[in-house]
Amino acid sequence: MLKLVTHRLLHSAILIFGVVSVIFFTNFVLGDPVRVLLPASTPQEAVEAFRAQMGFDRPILVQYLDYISGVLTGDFGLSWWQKADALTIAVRPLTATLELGLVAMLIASVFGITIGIAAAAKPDSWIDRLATSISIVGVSLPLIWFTLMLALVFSVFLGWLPTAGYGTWAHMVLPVVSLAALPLGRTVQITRAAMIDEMAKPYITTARARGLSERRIMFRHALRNALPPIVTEIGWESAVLLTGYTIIVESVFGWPGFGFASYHAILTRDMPVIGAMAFVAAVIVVIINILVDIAYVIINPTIRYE
Amino acid sequence: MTQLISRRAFGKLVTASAGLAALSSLPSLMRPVYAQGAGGIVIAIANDPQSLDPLAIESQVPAQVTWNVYEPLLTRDTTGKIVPGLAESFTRTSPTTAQVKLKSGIRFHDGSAFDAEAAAFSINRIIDPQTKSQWIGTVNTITGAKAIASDVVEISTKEPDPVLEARLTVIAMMAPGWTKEVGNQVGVQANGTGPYKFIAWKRNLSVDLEANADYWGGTPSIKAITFRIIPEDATRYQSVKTKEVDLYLGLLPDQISGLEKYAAGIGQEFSFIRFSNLEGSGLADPRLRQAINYAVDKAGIHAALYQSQGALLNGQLSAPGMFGYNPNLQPYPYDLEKARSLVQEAGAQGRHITIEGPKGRYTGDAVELQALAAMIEQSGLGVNLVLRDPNNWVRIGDRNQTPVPPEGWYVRHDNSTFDADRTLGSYYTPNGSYSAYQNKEIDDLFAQSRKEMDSTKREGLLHNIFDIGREKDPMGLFLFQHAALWGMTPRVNFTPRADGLLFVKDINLTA
Repeated sequence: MLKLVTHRLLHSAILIFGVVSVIFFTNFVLGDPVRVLLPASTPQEAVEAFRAQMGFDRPILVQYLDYISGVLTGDFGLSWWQKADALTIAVRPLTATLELGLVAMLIASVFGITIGIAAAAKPDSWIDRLATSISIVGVSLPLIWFTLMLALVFSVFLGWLPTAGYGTWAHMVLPVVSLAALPLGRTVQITRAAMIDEMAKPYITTARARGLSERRIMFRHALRNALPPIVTEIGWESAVLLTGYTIIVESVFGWPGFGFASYHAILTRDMPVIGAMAFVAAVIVVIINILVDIAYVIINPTIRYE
Repeated sequence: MTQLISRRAFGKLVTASAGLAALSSLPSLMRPVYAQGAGGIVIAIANDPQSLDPLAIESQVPAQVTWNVYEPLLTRDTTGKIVPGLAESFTRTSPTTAQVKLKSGIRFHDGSAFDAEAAAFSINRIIDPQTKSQWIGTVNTITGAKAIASDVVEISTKEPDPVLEARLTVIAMMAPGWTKEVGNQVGVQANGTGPYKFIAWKRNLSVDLEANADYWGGTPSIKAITFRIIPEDATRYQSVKTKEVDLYLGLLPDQISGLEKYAAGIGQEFSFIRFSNLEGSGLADPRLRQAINYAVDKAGIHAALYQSQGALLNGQLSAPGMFGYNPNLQPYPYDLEKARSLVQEAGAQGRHITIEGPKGRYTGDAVELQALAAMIEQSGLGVNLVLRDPNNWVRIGDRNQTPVPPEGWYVRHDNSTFDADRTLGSYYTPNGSYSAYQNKEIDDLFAQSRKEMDSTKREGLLHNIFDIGREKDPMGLFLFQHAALWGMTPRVNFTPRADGLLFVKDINLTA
């Protein structure tokens, strides 16, 4: 296990280094950063003075090495927009996002797996058809439309829930529902498929022949073997949810989390913050991947990473 | 007896109806408690303020917050006219100096006195390169300020500066002691002399202010302000419908009909296409620039895209209420025949010109440009329309980064000094950072206007410049003065100001 984790961490370090480098160079491909920072009518002398002050007049390679050495000590520079430490700006909203993300993923996983198993237990039954319909709806909803519709129906028409904000459980309902829909749909699909696959295998026939109850066969035997793809999918959904879906959902519902902050950083082209956020997002993905790998070993002790 | 319903199914039904009953009682339980309850107001803003340092930041969103906390020496009334703010009087003492006498007995929220030292400190701070002020282009004629009595501050300028009063309206007064004490935290708190005191800033969520009971202008009627940060247009709009938010700037024209109350202010955003008349430009011949003006149905686009909110520009990059605006000029009429014959006369049929514009910098920018390009093509000119991301689009407009400017460059100009000096200085003089235009006659008139201290004469010079720039050597395709649309709940009584700023002390709420 230790070997697995160290191995993964080494890989991840290279990955994160790559992400950070790509982000750095993107900054210069996109145009002159100085012009983003000053209003249109600034006189040229002031523009040049500012350029020198920010160090943008140095050769690009020097700036790159400077940036990388900063990153190694956790210094991503100051936000161009708010003049505060970029890494702090990237990390600060994580708690709000984790609150949303964990609740949404918990709901998606518990309901997704349950519905998936129920569907697989009786293929082509009404439960199965209902589950398939739910999952297809969940997977195909355009997220931005779905979030706005939820707000329209539950806030504007019914007046049950606030349209935007943070702080009470009522504020949490609509963002959680928006975030959970897609992972829920996908978890249902994967669970159903994996379970149906397993249930068709010879060892299940053997188990049945031995007279084990159907329930015991499903949960003790089939589910355990069906879990790896489900766990992979949940891990992947968690990563996409935290670093991707939240951009839309948090912006729509004014939830002060990581997605909200990334949306704003991108909108203002705040490169130091975008860099720090890409770094944080990469770290999140890495952590989730390691957790998934560990989960494999726990689920199925015969899996070995050598 | 045939059982109509099994016992188990009956049980399920009971549970379901209990659930429904619980659900239907939810509205009363879950109706959120509105922050604006007791005499407070909630205003939605589109993003987290960049900073609350009013001397460093020139930006609409933080300005909505900071101008309720901080005040300048001179300010504007609702029509845009300059009136005293914290100043008692303003006197020019020599061509390059002016003295401002301050109102007495005013204190900052932290208790320190507002005096000439504070005024001098604030003016010197905005021009200090260390402040990295975004206002620098507006205030850089000022060389310094010093206190010459406890209530008199003297301001010096490089050259005679006829626009000095207007420049002072953007300089917020800050307390020297407090500013030094908080150091680099100056942008995350606020301490002014204004009607509202800073309470808290929750990042990406809200900024809270409360009424200053000791305000020199009288305690404001609204006791508390919560600025809520809601980035999504549709959500801001919905929040007003649910009355979670009372007021916001940025209502879209097509949402007007959905709200019970809105107000359209005269916006300070002027959209236009800047023409290049430089040698080698496909539009060097003034007849072609006239033709483009004739070919575009400005009123038609204005109605279709903006529901005619705002106004058409009158053949100049200025509007009524601005210094230098020429009241005798009219927009070009829509006359396609005339446009075609001008293009023919100039022998330019089929000539391709390039127009560069932003995509996503302003509300509706790309759509407006596509409509314009299609109309211009009716004149016989070909249009190569390039829509870029905002960053690269700015680069194209900058003469220092783009030595050969495109024939047309679309921008919306925002003039916070209310003076044509800023407009012309930026776009139509050889030294302007966004200029692609040269006209000897205009250069001379402009140079004279910069030295002319007699305001009537200076206004006459600016009138002349706009006159030449309309027809003789057309400066651009001047389009619209965009409206500033405010969405609000029915209880808000608010009239937008000419300068687009938000002073909550002037708002009152119907109980």
